[in-house]
Amino acid sequence: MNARRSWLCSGVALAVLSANVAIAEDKTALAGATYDSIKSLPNWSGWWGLEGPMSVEIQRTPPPLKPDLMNAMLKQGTSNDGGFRNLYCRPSEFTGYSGGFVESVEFLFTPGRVTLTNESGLVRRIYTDGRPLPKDVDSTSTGMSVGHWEGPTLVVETMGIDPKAFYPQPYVGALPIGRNARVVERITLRDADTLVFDIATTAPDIFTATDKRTRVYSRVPKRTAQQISFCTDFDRAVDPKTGKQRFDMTPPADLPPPPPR
Amino acid sequence: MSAKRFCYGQWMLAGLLLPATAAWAHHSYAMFDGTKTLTVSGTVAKLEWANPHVYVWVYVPNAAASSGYDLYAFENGSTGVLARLGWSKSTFAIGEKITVEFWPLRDGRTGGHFVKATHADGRVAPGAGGPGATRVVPKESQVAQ
Repeated sequence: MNARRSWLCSGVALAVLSANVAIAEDKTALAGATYDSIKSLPNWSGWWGLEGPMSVEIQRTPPPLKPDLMNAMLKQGTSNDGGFRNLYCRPSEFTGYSGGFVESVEFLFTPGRVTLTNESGLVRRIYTDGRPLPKDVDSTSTGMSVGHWEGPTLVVETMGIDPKAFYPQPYVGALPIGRNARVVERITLRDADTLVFDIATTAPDIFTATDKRTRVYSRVPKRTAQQISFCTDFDRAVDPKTGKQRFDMTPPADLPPPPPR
Repeated sequence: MSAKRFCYGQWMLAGLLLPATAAWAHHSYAMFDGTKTLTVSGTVAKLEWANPHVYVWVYVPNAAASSGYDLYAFENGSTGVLARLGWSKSTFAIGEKITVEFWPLRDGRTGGHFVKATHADGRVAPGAGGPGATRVVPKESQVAQ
């Protein structure tokens, strides 16, 4: 009896061990899991620039905001009162939009991970090592992202987004995205120099339905990254004391005199 | 009317009501009048190459002014976006003559949002952003260096 039990235990242990080895093997077989397999991924190198500004896109295709929130957004977005100074000095946020307002984006491929950055400091770590999204995660400004390759398309799911993170971005007219927001992106090349993001955003606190939209980026040849910061000590468009908007016409200190008459 | 159709109509209406100055931007463009484009000619006083906005300063002749000139300020896009358009900190030289198209300030001061500028030799430097902009990078975006 003891011998049979011992054999049974050994069998179970072997089966568990084999399963673990199989899982480990499966993970190394995932697209992008090793430096060798990264070579077979599509060429997303360099910088990618957005074709149309987010402001125009949102106006042409408004998100499915709850009506009272839409009114609030419109009121704030058309106001000249400002009071938004602290919006620009927050950590980079992701609520479905990687490009900031006008910034270019880039991708870094390393084994088991894709990292997306933009020119204003956004860093999104997208794990492609086969791990599932956790059932529960502490919220962060960029959320928790996992991805997998479906042929040439990177599918990314993001959850754990800080409810206070702004939709669509921390700019004038934005709103906190609220609890339990999730974003699913399908990113693929339309042609060698055009990258398309199909994005579905669920945000039950602010949307009446899933927001679905497509954003098109073009490869920017010979691009050198420009650091863009809206959180600056000297901003002619925003009063640093009050946060109100302005058009500051104080001449630069080193302005040359006007030409002789 | 079904709820779905009502919702669709509501968003169509919202889209129509969204004014050109609705922001989702660094700041509202309410201070500019995007319905009119003005033109001035003068000499470059300074290209202020900075984020979040590049500013172009221009002396524009005005016989009625005590100095003989008005100083104009034009807000433009960020350095990153303008770099995509071919701009650099030396796109304009101090003292060179240019003609600037701009969306004027609503308060009447001498300035506005940069639309584009033409050098004396005819080269055009397109601007970025502003109340009338529809693209991050205009299709005709080429800065002849």
